[in-house]
Amino acid sequence: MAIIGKRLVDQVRSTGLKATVAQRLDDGFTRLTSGLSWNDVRGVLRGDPPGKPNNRVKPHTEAFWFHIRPTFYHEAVTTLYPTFRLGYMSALFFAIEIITGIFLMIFYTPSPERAYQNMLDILTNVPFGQLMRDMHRLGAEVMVVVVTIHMWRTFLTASYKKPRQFTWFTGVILLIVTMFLSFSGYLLPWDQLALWAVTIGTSMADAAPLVGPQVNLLLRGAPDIGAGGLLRFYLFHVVLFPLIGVIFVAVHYYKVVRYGISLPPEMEGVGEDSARKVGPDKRVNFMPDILTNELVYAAIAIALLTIASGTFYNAALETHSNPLVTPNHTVAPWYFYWLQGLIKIPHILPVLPEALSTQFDSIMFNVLGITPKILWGIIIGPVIPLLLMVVPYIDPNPSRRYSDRKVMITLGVIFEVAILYLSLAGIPTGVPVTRFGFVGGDPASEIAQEFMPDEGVGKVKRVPWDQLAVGTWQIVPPDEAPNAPEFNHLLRELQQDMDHRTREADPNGKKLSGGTANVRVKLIQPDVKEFTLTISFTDDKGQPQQYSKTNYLHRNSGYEKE
Amino acid sequence: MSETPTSPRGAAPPGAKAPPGFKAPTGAAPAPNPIDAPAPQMEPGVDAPKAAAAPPGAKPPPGAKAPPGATAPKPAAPKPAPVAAPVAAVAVAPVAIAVKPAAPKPDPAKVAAAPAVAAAPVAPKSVSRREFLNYVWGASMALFLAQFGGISFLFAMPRFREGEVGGRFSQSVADFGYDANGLPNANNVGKFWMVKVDDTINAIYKVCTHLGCLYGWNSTGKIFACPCHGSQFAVDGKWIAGPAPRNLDAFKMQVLDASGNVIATSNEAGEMLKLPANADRIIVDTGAKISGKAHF
Repeated sequence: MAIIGKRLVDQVRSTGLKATVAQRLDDGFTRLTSGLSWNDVRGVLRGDPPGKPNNRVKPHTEAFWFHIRPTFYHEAVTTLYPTFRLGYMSALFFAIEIITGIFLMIFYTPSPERAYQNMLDILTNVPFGQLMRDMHRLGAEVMVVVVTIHMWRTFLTASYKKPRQFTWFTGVILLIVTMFLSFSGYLLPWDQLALWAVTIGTSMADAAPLVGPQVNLLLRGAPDIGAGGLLRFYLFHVVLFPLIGVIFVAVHYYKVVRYGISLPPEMEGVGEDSARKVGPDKRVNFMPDILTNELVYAAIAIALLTIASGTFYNAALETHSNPLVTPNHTVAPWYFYWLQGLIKIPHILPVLPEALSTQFDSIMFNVLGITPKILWGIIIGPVIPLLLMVVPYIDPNPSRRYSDRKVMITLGVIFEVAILYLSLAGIPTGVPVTRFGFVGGDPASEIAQEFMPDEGVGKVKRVPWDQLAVGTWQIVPPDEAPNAPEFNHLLRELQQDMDHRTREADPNGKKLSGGTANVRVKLIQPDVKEFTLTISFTDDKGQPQQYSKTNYLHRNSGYEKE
Repeated sequence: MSETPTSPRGAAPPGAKAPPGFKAPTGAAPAPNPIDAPAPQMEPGVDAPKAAAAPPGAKPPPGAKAPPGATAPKPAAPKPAPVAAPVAAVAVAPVAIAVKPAAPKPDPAKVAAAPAVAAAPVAPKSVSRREFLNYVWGASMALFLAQFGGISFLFAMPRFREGEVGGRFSQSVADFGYDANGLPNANNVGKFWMVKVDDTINAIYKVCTHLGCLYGWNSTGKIFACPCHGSQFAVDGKWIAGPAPRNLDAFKMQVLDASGNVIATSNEAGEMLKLPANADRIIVDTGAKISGKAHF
């Protein structure tokens, strides 16, 4: 201590107080940056050329955060093509999810008694709570998209080839982790969507061969999702999957430092990898060029995410979970639609004519005990991610050129189209382009679901309270209520929907026949109105049937403003 | 490439102290017959990659006939003194290999040595004591990890007893059938419908066999219909349409008469049970679920 004090005194004597303080501060700064003094950093910020020797590589060799980034890139990969910055964006969204997630964790308790109340608190009582939640939710969905496109880009430019096979392998693991992270977060709000979407998801695990029921129990913590399941999903979401994600991001990043970013395929000879053999004139240093560039991308992405979350995007919160009622049209998350579409394939060989494929199915069932659902949902479904993992190990073609990879790119496009088609087919409400769409309720209940959904707001609740004209109103043809333009508009829309369903069959080939309907609005309390839609129609057997559904609306609900 | 000869161990003079773990034939004198050196004294790590790549005794490496030092890429190659060479080969070669496994094949030390001497660092074919013990340690760790995995599985499995979710429910005969609105009666605690078709009854699990949603009663079609993916089932649980892979699951039932004797039970397939005339109560055991028949 005395020696340090003496040195300080000596320095002050010889150079003066101001210079000593400046020198000591710069010394501390240099330690923080692992080797760059304040003047060096200013040089980086000004865009000065690096000195010789280039001390800007010091943070890359000495410090943790920069050692997972390369010191320079080939100039060919610093343009938008070929990377489109998708890997960087994936990591950025992972970071955004971690930060917003920690904020949400502060106000959240993973228990069925408290979770939903916590959500309401976050949305109403916590400053910026709704923004945090919207950013977390939207960021998660965007992250799934970005990671998927990142993989698709890597496939198209054949960047998975030697020596980057294992980088691709870890990338597929990260894709799966991303999906599971997103999915495990579904349950936490403990609303109806949470409970039933996760019930559907874990039931998919239940259908897996041999281990399915055990996996299902491990996930749910009980035969049905309850307190145990909520706690388990919370731990998956905030501990297990982020941990796996961080580990594999580290491996993934290390491989990028080790092998560099692969050059555009057309720039390399066949079987050659020159990403790390970059002449001095082709180098773009990480500091400052790449760093500045990445900061701009981060700023744009965060700005867009914040604006979207602050304006039009609202993460839905449905009613409190109810284990006794499944709401209509409950769906798994959209990134699992392809799996649902797969389960809907009606035959083992769906390309054969109907009669033949039914024959074939019965033979397969009697001989091997395989049904189309076992084949498509339980055998083919899990094989797809495994197939993705081994792509670099089974692709025999050493060339990365597009013109040499016609077969592989065609296969990739077929795969992509198949996944998109299956996703469309997996949408529960059905899409007419698919042969095996939705097997739903009768048209009358579908009309009611469209205007008065079990969960969410719907068109009926958006009519302003004052305009809900008390009385009974016919829909075919639509009555006109006085001074109620939006209510009359609703009646006309109902009439058009009924007319549409009478003329055109839905994806199941069902039509509404002989449909008439009325709406009855009753004031049942000073501030509550009862809205009942009753549809009369003739069923398949020619019997008259009636379907009705009721919504209750309060004067101060405020749905019309949403 | 260049650090190998200049590294302290590589530059050790011939006859200097052998590196730890490697017992060179002692003394500065040439080894009388290095082939006789006991194999277990070799370190597994020292000889593995290089010696396997170039078994010296069997086939001399390319360039072995070249004069020593002429083809050697290392500037500081050991002096090819005829007397000191055998010892240098024995003492230096394994170290050079260990430090730099990718060293070029014409190793100067080996080149300098006579073929018989170069055979000294051959891979031992037998397992050394240390190697064996390391395998044993590894195996015991693997065994421990396997046990830990099994324990983790048991630890993470939820704890509940059969029947704890629901249990055995006692229902009257009149419970089976429809209510005033034409809706089948249900037990919401046990999660089953109590359906009746003519004089047959069944206790049908309320969960869809597709993906676990609770299907509902469609009063217009008089069928069960699932709100999630639209599977449809007849009132007796038979699959009609949709993605569900099998008929609805049922619970095992026992039919008791007035004095408590069991007079009928569900069959193995969980089909509709014909109600005996003297039936009084029906015990529904939700711990005994019978999977519906698969269709294709």
